[in-house]
Amino acid sequence: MKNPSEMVYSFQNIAEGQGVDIAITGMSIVFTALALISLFIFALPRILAMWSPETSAVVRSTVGQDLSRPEEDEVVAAIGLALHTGRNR
Amino acid sequence: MNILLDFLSTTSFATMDWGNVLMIAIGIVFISLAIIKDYEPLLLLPIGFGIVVGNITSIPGMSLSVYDEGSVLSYIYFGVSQGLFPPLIFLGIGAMTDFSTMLSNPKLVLLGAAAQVGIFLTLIGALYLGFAPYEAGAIGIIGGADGPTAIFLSAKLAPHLLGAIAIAAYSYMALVPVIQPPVMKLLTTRKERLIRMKAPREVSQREKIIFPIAGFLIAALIAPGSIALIGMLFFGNLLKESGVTERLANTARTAMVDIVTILLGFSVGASTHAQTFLTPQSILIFGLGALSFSIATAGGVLFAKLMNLFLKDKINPLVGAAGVSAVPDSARVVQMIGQQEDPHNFLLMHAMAPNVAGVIGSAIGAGILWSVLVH
Repeated sequence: MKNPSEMVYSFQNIAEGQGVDIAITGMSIVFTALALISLFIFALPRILAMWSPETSAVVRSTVGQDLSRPEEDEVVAAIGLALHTGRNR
Repeated sequence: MNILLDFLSTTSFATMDWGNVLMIAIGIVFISLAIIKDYEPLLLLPIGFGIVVGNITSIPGMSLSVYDEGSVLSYIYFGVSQGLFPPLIFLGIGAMTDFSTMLSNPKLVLLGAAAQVGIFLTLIGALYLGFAPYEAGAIGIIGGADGPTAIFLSAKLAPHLLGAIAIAAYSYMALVPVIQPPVMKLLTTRKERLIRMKAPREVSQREKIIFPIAGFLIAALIAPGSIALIGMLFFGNLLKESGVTERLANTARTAMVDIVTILLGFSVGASTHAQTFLTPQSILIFGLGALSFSIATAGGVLFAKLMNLFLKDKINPLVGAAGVSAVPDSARVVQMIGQQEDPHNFLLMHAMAPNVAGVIGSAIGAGILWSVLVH
């Protein structure tokens, strides 16, 4: 650890520490990893539907669709919130 | 009489200085915040009491503190200094996390990635202030808003800063309800805060079982440094979702995680000796920590607004703020701010998606920094 008196505020420090390179590379990798996870999640129900034809009709009818009726949304969300809050007390 | 005088010279009254007194006062503030304000009590209370314990001084030769070889506290602190406790906490988090909301709306995962900008911009800020690159990496991870991840990475990269980084990370996690709302309101219009999102679809059990295995493979193959954290997170989740290891999952999310939380919080607190903690670097770390939480929040919110330019079903940009991984506090803040505008808008379940994605994102970020900056 540097002595506080030796610490100098400077943009040169960022260049010497390759800060911008690390930041750009790091963010790109984090985005890539989570984008791949996101793509996998998107594809998963469709892959499962292909593997199990008997459930494909059910999956096709649910993927990307809102299962609940609009009037039920608020009730379901409110119950979810109440349960979540209660469990985290 | 001499024995009495000798004994008095060994008491902490004789050996402690103003710094220890100040740290004990800080410890009591932590305990008070936990009890009176209910701010992260499961963390702040053990840490606060640990701070008090760690600043009771002793004479040389008495093996008492976390830094004294052979002391009881040093054995407990071993779990922190060697990065043992954080993965165990991740195991418990995995066993209590329901990824359903994330699985039902995969695009929200990207918000968890966007919020990690806090990590990398804070790293740049720390470099500017003169910290060495490995120290800057450890400080940057505060922006991940994940205490165990911050402890894990600082134990690997900059153990001498571990106390300050851990205290900053947990303090700001407790202050999420204070730090995030102004940033969220500043960056969104009322119209945006009123956006209602579609209810999530139903997720099958098979999806829930396959996801932890596939998610681990994707994350670990890209960033092997995150194996310890990500592996335990997804392992815990598989215990929960498999349906055949309910006993193990139950132990992981209750008794085990509680025991580890107690030991981790207490020993991190006890590591904050005034002589090593009260330094100008610690003040800079606390400043950077506050900045990093704000940047991470802004990153998530702004990315949600960017995504809305291309989406038919709009995202409420407030949900982006939950991309910082402070689970579940940041999701609760999203719910709170959303309901201030529309009491019938329930954003909590939507916010949990970027929230858990943020946990994965910050662990991957830690793995990357460890790989790049290890010396």
